[in-house]
Parts: sequence; C-alpha cells; structure tokens
Amino acid sequence: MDELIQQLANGVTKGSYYALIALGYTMVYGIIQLINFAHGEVFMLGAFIGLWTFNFGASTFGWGGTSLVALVVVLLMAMLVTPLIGVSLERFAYRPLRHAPRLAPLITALGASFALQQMVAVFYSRSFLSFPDLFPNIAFQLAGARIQLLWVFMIGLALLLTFTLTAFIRTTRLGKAMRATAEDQDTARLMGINVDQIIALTFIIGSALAGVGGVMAGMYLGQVNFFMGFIAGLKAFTAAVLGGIGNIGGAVLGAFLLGILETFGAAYLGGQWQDVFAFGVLILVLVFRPTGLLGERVSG
Amino acid sequence: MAAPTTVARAPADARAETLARLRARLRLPLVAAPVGGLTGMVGSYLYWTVSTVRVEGVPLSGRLVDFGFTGVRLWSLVTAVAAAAYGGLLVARRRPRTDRQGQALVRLGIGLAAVPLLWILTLISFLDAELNRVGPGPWVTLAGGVLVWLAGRGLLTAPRAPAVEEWPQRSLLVDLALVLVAELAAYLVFLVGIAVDDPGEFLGFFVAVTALGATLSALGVFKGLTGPFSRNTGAAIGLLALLLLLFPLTQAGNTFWIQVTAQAGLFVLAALGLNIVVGSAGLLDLGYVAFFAIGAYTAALTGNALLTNLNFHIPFLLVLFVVSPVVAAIFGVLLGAPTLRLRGDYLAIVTLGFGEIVRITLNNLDVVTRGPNGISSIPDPAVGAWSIGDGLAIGGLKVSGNGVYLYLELVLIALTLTVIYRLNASRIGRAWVAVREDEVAAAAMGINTTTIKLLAFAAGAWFAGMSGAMNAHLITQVSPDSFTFAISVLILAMVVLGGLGNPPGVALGAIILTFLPEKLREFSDIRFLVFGFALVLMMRFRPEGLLPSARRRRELRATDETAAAESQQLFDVRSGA
Repeated sequence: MDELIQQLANGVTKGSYYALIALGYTMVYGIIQLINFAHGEVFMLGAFIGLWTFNFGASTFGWGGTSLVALVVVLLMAMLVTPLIGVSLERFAYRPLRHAPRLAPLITALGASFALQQMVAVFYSRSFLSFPDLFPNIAFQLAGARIQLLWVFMIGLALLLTFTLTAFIRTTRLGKAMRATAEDQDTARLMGINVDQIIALTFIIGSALAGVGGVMAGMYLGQVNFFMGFIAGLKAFTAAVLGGIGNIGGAVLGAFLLGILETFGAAYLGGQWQDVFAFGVLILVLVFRPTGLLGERVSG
Repeated sequence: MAAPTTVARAPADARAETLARLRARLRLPLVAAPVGGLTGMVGSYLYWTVSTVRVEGVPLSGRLVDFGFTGVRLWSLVTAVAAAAYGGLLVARRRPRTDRQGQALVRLGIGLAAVPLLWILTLISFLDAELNRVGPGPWVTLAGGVLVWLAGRGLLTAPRAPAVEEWPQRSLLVDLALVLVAELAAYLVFLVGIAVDDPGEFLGFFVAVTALGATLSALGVFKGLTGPFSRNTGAAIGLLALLLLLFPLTQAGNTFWIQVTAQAGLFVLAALGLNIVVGSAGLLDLGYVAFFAIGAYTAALTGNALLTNLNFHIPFLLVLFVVSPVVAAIFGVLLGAPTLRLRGDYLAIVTLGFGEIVRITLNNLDVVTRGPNGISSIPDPAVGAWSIGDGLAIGGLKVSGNGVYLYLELVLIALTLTVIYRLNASRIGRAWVAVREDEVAAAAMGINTTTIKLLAFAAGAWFAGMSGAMNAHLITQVSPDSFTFAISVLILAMVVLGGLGNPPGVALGAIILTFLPEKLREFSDIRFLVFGFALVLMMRFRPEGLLPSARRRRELRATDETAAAESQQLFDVRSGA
C-alpha cells in the first residue's frame, strides 16, 4: 500500500511537467492542426535556458544551491525566452507552409526539431549536465509515502498555470479570438480577427508553458541533456491524444494519467520497459478511442 | 484553405515593387559577367593562403598547402572559366537575352562566390587560421563571383524562369550520343568525387558541381535531356548498369569506397521503399527504421552468426527475398491495420512510437537479441564452398566481396524499380495517388482507403526488410544503436532531398546522403544539424526535391489558384493519364 502511494506520487509529479508540454501540443494542434514536433525541443531548451540563467547568476551574483530568487528568475527567464523560439519557428518555418500540403509542415516540424536538438548538441554539450537544486530539499511523510516538497510545488504550479490558461481562453477577448480561430480561420478573419497574430500567440503561450515544464523537469530529474525533449515530447503528445487532442482539460488529465500509468508500468514491469509502455498506451488509445478520453474539442 | 484576400496581397505587391526598383538600381551592364569570370580566373591563380614565412620577400603558402590548396583553386577556376565563357557568349550574341540566361549567370555567380567563401570559413572556423593568413585569391574570386551574380540579376525581369521543354528528337544517333555523354559525365563526377580525398578540396568540388548543376538546370538542360532519355530508356538503363558493374574495377583494389557504395545501395533500396509510403501514398512514416531493423535481425538470427543466442539457419537468398521482407511486412500490417484508419498526422507519431518500441525491445530482449551487444560475426552468405566474401574473378579481373554485394544490390534495385514502376502504373498505384491527393474523394470513387494505405505500408516495410537483411550481412553485425530514430530521419531526408514520389530522384538522394557524410567525416559532428536544416529549407524553397516528379512538383508548388485549376482537372476524365 505504501509502495502504491509512493508510485502514485511519483507518477503525478511526472504528469505535472508532461501536462505543461502537452498543453502546447494540444493548443497548436487545435488551432492549425499541426503536430509541432519541435515542441519537445522547446521544452528541452527551456531546461537549458534555466541552466544557463542559473550558471550566469551563480557566476555574477553568486547564487548558491537553493535560492528562491534564483528559482523565480530561472523560471521567468525560461518563460520569456522560449516564446521567442516558438514564435520564430512559427514565423519562419510553419507560416510560409500554411497552405502547402499537409506533409510539408510535418516534415518541416521534424527538421526543425532535429536542428534545434543538434544545435544544443553541437554548440553546447552532448553530455548529461546536472541541474542545480533550486528548490529546498525538504521531504515529508504522507500516508506512508515520502513526498518531496518540490513535487508539491511542481504539481501546484502546473495546475495554477492550467487554470490561468483556461480562464484566459474562456474569459478574455484574445481567448475568444483563439477559440474562433480554432473553429474556423476564414470566418474568424472575416470577423476582424488577426489570425496570424492569434496563431503566433498560441505558439507564445505553448512555448512559455513548455519552458516552465523544462525547468521543472530539470529540477525533478536533476539532469538535462540535449535529447531529453524527444522522449518527453512524444509522451506529452501521447498525453494530449489520451485526453483528446485540442482539449485543454483533456491534455492535463491525460498527462497525469500517463505519468501514473508509466510509473506503475515501470515499477511492475521493470524500468527498461517504461518508454515502451507509454507508446503502447498511445497506440492502444488511438486504436480504441482515437478521440481521447474527453473527446476532441477545439479549445477551452 | 483560406483564399488570400486582395487586402492581404497589397503589401506583397508593394514589396515586390520596391524590390524591383532596388534591382534596377543594382543592375550592371552584361559586360560585368565575362569581366567577373576573368576576375575569378585571376583570383584562382593568386595566393589563397599566406604564410608568415617569407622567402626573399615572397610569401610562401604554409602548412595549409596540405589542405586542399590546389584543389579548391582548381574548382573555382572551372566555375570562373564557365562564367567567363558563358558571359562572353551572351555579350557577343545579338539575340535578346532571356530570363533563363540571367538565372544561369546568377547561379554561376553564386557558385563562383561560394567556393572562396567556404574556403575562408573553413580556414577560420575549422583550421583556426587567422584572417590575415587568407591570401588575396579568395577575396578576388569572391568579387568576381559577385560581379557575375549582379550581371545575371540584371537580366532577370521575372522571379522565376519560364517553362523549359524536352529536347525533340533530331536523329537516333544524336539522342544516343546525348544519353552517353550525360551518363559518362555523371559517372565521371562520381568517380572524381570519390577520388578527391581531402575534405576541404571535396567541399570546393562539391560546391562547383552544385553550381554547375544548378546552372545547367536553369538552362533547361536536365529537362531537355529527359527527351532523349525517355525515348531510349533501354539503352540508358543498359549503359548505366554497365557503368555500375564496372565500378568495382575502377577502384584499383581499394575496397573502402566499394563498401560505401554498397551501403549507398542499401539506402537506395530502403529509400525506394519509404518513397512508396511517403511519396506515393502520402503517409508520413517516422519509424521506418523499425522495419529495417526487423529485416536485419531476422537475417542475423537465420544467418549462422557466431555470436548469437539463437540460430535457425535458412539459406540467404530465401531470407533475402522471402523471410526478412515477409516478417517486416507482417509487422507493417500489424502496426498499420489499427492506425491507418486514423487521420494522417496521427500516423506520423504512432510510427515514431513504434520505431522506439522496436528499438527498446531489441535492446531489452536479451534472450533472443543479446541486448545492447547485438548479434555479431554474421558470416558472408555462402553457396557450397564459395562465399560472397571470397569475391569473384572473371578472367583476369577480380571483384572483391563488397563488390559482389554491390552487384547483388544492383539486381535487387533493378527488381525493386521494376516492381515500383509496374505498381505505380497499376490500379493500386493510381489509388495511392488518389488517396494522397484527396482521401474523401478517393473513398467516394470506391477506393477502400484503409486497405490501399495498408498495402502501401506493407510494401514499404517489405523493401525495408530486404534492405535490412542485406545490411546485416554487409556490415556483419546488428545492434539496437544502429536503428535509432536518426536513421529514420536520414532515410526520410533522402526521399525528400531526391524528390518525393520520383524513384530516380530518391535513389539520387540516397546516394548523395550516403556519400556526403563519408566524404566530410571531418564535419561529422554537425551532420544531423545540417540534415535538420536541410529538411526545413527543402520544404520551404524546393519541396519537390532535386529530381521532382512532374505531378508532385505541381502539387507541392500549388498556390491557391493553381490548386483550384488542378482540382478542376481531376474532374476532367481525359486528363487522368
């Protein structure tokens, strides 16, 4: 029983950063029906930007191990810089191909993903780099399981960001414009919505969330690598599909579910099968319920 | 699809106007072209590196002589002579100049400028030389290239060259001569490319060849050549086969490049298979390497490997033609059957996941696959006492084991191409195209889209399995790390670079992308970085690839208006050739 709760806690924590990546996938897919393969790389870059910010802070301001200031600055930097990457992807890679056959943007997305990954590998580092413990290393017992305070923080932050996003999409003018664009681009344009801007905004929000996810993953795993975005991106996409792509609540639900499933799978089948388990889930969902658990919805 | 409104188009018009005005201001008289070419020739003869050591006041080229000094200069000289000659010809000729000629000059200019630019970059970034060690040569050549380029721009009025036509038949002899010359030239480029050892020199060679190729393409030579080639397909293929059969004999006992060529042959086979899936049927398969891996492991487990946990021996030819392809195709069907009903882009991600599943399974299933160690020491297939590794000796000519593999692959490729062309011309092939272009319309026409997609998937897997089986014996071992996602992307890049849907183009793409990394080992770190960018740039600027199929080109280039015209044509029964 204790073991069960422990695994559950691990799984939910993992799910929290999957959720942040999955949101970007699901939003972009909802609005332009593109699987943005490079999104996993944006997540990875988020982690690296966090690392670079910390290294810079450590050498200039002498940040030590755990520091709340450092944590906030690192998170903010990741949130501010990743949108630039996402938006330039959209502007220079995807926008020119918006009217091309579907294969073209997919291949572009794949190429962009590869290019971003290799840029980090070639110009920075190919090895695993340890990520600083920005969050105080406090653990407590809960129902027989050992819970890190960091985990609670991660889950809380993920949920907070999700609720903010949902509120933004439901209540604001821009959110309404996003929903309209997702529904029908041409009509949205006729209603005076600047569709290009809305699509760019989608990429901005998605990338910022992925950036936060990257920093969270870095803190959780304790290390970062140029390749980390590939598998994480795939899993987040699985989560988005599991919940019903285009559906924001679904993406978050799918992410937590996938995190839990995966942790249990790894615990009972052996860690080396963890990734197989996640992709198996993806294939099964697509076979039996391609619209996902909550069904496809365009947005909100 | 949103039709761009006139409102949206106005700024684009304004921008085009500004560009045209700028271009007019930059226009140089045509004389600049031969002058630029001559400048480039002079530049080729000047010092390209300057040593700090001086002998009687004359700077000596230093250590860098070893690094492609004469080679790069030679290639820039070739481009410069071409530019000077062509520019001179244009100046001397009375007839009005065309856009096509302008475009050719532009490309020659870019080619001429690119060689010294690459040289300077190579010196500074990869050899850590200082800027003052770059001699006057590259700068002068660069200036020549820019002159040619500007002169060419001056001739351009429209952004794109007018349509080019196939050359009509003059006489059979002329046709055959053209085929012969074209194939010999291509073969020569290939042989020289192999012979150029030095990476810097090879870069220069590569740039020069690319520039000349682009120039010829702008002049419509390639399109023109399709005339003689299509009229004499048999002769063209026969000659090509002969040249390829002779290839192992040109290497003077050095087997390295024969082995690389054999590797390229494998990739040609795999890429042709992927082309059925991606090019013909329009399904993006990102886990293609899985089928390759399955074929390779099947061959390894049935091929009497020394280091293996399991071995059912089955004769190689049976494995190659039946067992490996069938096993791979079965997996293809198993994966495709449930997922092909879904929307196209889900397929991409499912296949990606499948590729990873296969790799991880191979890695973890120690009992059968020996895990990360893989299966190694797979012997060359043998017939009686003779094994492929012994090579062949016909008369006094000896062909090494790798050469025999190459011959076997040529047979396989020939068979594959026959199958593919027959398939494309069949009901199934037309159904693939229909499904690719409009699934709903295809279904309405009575095509069972799921079955037809499944067939494409299985056919692709079939050829991947075949190629994988060859691969296991050729490199004598299989291990999970050689079947990563990167290989899937590499094969996809071959298909995209060569020309989606066009088998000869795909083969060309596979050959280029196998040889380039081998030739540029110095830069192997950035290989995948370049692939990633290449995919993005290809999709943006030349989505139809190097050798496009006519239909695919129109489709991928389609703007909204032409797309409308195209779909109009679909309803016209007579144009359905």
